[in-house]
Amino acid sequence: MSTKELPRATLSQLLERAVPYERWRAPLDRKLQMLTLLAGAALLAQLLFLWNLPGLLEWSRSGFFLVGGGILRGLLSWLAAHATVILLLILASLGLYLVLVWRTRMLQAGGLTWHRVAFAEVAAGAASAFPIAVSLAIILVNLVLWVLAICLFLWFIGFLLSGAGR
Amino acid sequence: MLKRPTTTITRGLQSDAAWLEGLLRQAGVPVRSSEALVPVTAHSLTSAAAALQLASPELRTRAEQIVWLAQARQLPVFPLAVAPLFSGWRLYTKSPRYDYVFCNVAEDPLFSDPDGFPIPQAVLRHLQRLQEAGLGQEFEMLYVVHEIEKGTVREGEPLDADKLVPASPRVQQASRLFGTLGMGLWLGTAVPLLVGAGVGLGMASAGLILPALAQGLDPLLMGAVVAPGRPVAAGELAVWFYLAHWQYADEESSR
Repeated sequence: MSTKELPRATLSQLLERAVPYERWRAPLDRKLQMLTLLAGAALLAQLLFLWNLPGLLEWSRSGFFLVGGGILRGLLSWLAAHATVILLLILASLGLYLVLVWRTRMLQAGGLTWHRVAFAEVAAGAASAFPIAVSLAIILVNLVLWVLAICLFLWFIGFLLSGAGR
Repeated sequence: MLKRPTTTITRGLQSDAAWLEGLLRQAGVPVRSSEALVPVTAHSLTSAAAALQLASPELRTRAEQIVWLAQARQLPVFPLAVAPLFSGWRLYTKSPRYDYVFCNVAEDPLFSDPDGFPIPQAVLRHLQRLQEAGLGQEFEMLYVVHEIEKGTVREGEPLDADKLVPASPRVQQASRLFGTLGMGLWLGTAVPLLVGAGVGLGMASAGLILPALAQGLDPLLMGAVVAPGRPVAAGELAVWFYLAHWQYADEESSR
């Protein structure tokens, strides 16, 4: 018979470590998992966006913007005015994101708290993505307009040249 | 003054499966003895019959004192068996429906799990009552029996906490809600892109079929006491008591 003392747990120790099963870990919902990944990318994209804000502001004043230039300038100016606060929020979100990834074992499963944190990250990611999406939308609209304008111009030149040829 | 239930206790110490089932039914404790107690009986009784001869009067007296204390406080704490202590965990696979992991709580992976040891709230309140009644400090060791799906745990492999406890249905429900709300937020974010650039964005939402959770997995918590002055070591004879049991699938009804 072995006389080596066994590792022991008392009821009070068990109660200290016990958590309500109702809040215990469960796998992250697939949509939540996917959106949390997207949120991480959006937060990083927002960092790059803020980094390039002065250049974008300058560009927004150029003649490229046929429509929506005012909206873009307004948006970028607002972001520039609150850049420090936004930067701090993004860095805090990214820090929490790392903890989330660690505690949920690469966004696999976690307790109720971590599902809430994942949702908060999704919301932060969506908020970060919004100005990028608006900016991209205005740029795309103008790009499309420029492409159309160039096509029209080329068509018009072609038309003129064909007329002169006759 | 409380009457000393000597006869019952003496019979309790001469544990056999039929007596245990009868005692639990009599006490109105809804343990499915044929399933939940299988590991206890299988582990203990073969050797306990012989070992019972070795049960010292001190050990019997101590077990009786615990039962008096529990009865005085009207708490359902019963002797289940007389059996030697052991370390680590043991797997019982002879039940037709489930396997059972019989584990020292201190060595249970859930005890050191970063998310904590999951116990339904109603059972936590019951355990708190045991603690407040002074029963908590009576037990030198705690053991837990995890009822698991057949074949999920194998001898020789490390014990994985996720195989012992099914995912919390309530958290899964919350997660689905967060996923749906998050999708709404991101769709809102995508509106400028959709409108501005006229980009058709096909949002294919994957149809999710979450695993059925009503598995009826049924842990049983036991406390073990040894005779006063004896070491809490593997092989030391102890009286094992029922402390609590629960079903993870019944968490909603247990609140």
